[in-house]
Amino acid sequence: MLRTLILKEIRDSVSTLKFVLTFMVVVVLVISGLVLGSKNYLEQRGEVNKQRQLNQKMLESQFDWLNAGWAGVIESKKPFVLSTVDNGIDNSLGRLAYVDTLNDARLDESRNLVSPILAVFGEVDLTFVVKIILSLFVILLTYDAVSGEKERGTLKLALANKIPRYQILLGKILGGFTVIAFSFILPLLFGLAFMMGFYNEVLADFNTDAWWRLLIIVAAYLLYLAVFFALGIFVSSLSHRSSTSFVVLLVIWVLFVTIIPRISLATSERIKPYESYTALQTKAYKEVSEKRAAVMDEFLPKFIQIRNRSMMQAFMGGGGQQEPTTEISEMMTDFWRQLGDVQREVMDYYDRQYERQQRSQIELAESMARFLSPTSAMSFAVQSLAGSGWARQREYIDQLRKFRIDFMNYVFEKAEAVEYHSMWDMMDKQKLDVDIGRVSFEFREETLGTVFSRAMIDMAVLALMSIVFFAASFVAFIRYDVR
Amino acid sequence: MLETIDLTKRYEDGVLGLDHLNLKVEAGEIFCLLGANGAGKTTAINLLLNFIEPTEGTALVKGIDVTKEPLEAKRFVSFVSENVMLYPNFSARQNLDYFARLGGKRNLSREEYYNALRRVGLEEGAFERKLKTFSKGMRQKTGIAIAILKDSPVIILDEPTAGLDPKAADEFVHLLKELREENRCIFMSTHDIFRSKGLADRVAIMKKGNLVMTRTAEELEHEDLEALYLDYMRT
Repeated sequence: MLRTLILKEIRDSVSTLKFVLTFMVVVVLVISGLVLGSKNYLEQRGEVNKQRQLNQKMLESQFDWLNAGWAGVIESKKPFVLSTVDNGIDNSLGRLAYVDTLNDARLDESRNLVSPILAVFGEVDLTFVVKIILSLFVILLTYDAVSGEKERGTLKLALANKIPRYQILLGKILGGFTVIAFSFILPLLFGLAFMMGFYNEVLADFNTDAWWRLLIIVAAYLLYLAVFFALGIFVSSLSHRSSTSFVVLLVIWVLFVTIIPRISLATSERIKPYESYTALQTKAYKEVSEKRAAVMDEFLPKFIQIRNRSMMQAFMGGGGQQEPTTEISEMMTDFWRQLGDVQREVMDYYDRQYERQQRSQIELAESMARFLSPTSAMSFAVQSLAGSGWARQREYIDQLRKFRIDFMNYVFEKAEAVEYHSMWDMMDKQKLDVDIGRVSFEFREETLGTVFSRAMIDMAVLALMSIVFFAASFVAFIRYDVR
Repeated sequence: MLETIDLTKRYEDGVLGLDHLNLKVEAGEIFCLLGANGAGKTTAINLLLNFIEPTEGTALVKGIDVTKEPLEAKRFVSFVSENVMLYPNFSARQNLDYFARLGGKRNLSREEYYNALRRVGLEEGAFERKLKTFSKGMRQKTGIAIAILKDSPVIILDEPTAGLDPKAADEFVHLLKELREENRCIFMSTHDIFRSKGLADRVAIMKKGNLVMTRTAEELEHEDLEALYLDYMRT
């Protein structure tokens, strides 16, 4: 009997014009999303090497190693292959990593900054298709699941037979969800086949880890759709008119997709406010200039004293080329390093302070949003798995900071190794000998276990929401007045 | 075959939908229930089909208590409702196939579905057409075909001729007579006084949840049913 109910549900759903149209839209959007994602991925992947070559040229052309350290390197953030599926907040985050000896390692110049048009129109990726298009499709499919049957008189006809109510609802759930899963998985397979044909080099970058992550992402998408599906059945089982359940579902959809995530952010801004970056920078610069002045005050009298002594020696020793003492050279190096240390120490302190406050606010907003909106829970799960959210960004910056220490060690090693025998040596410009391997940052992706454990909480929230709404649907349908 | 004993329904808002209804319909009998809107006809049908629970009393189908064993009782009942829309994107045959399976009839041949549709007078060209192209009368005929196909001893009809044109209504009356010949028990609520008189073995009038009058076909031969009905409605 269940088979009959499931097959009827599938046949009834796929024979409608709304299904055909939505399915076509989903196919087109999924394929175009994967194509755009692949293009962007290849473009960003290409940028990494180009930027490294540029770094080498830039460093080689510096006056000396201290200057090279100040100039630093710029790393183009290596994209993760699953950015083809989900952009997450990657477009808003920095895509260029700046590493130098003066400032804390940072990411800057988001893609939205470089191409504001992206920010205006947004990009279509697989997550967008699921989050917006498919969730709406689910509502279109379920808003009249029960109330529509009542309006058509078919519910009474069905219940006039020897069938328990729970079985009718189970048939609806299994049949309806099969249609939804099919409407997503089939276009996804089309999209992957398309990539195989035209963007095979992207698929070649999918290692086992990436395929597993993709599989879990698909599971997260399906769980998200299951929440809306169960919700649609539930609301439809509560109302007696399809138009009423449609309006109610639309309002809930707007709340879940757009309002609750924003309210969560606004609430967390009120609970955990923090100073703006500009305000902290102003404080930082004031402190830096005070500390640099102190270094200067300590350095200048010593420098003048040594310089005078040196000039006197030169004068007393008669004409010829004046030989600056090694002391001056060492003193100069030490002075510049001290200035650098002061700036680095202060800027690092304020940058970390800003970052801590920002993290704390984001974490609070995320915690609120994930429990109140399935859209947020799904987005966080997918961003964790696709490496397109805050987590990978934080990991990236953490690793970048470690790299910065290596970079500084390398630069200072080099700077100390250089010996100036005369003033003219210092002025004599020579190409620096740069080991590109030591000034290039290699990001190590997090393991599958790490990202999965992070995504688990969001997936558990989605599963819990589905179960609650399904259970509520059964209760509502058992009590449903079919008259 | 169909029996109600003191069957009563008081709704949550306090309205008395049905007040101690006692009736018995035998196999091979057509029982027509007349009454104004809200008289309690549909409430009686809803109780017989266990769509709602009675406040008091018992409804029996083939001796089975509908409230205690609803699924068992439904094995013996076919139902035709007023203005059934069915599944608009299914053809007449597909609709029949689905409901026949729900009624426990599996693996029927295409010809068996067609025969049921022929029997209710649906034109051949419409058998494989989608229901959304059907007129109200054609949909009603399909609904009746669904009931016939279940092949149950009891057929309950809720205002089945509403919206049918005179020719279709006459064909329908003819069909019900055929079903009576097959010894089926037919319980029908209707507003159609004229056809009830020519069709029913017994006619009853309901008012405000009460059965106020019952007449056999023989008794009605000497009485004007319409005048009787109007009299009861006035008092």
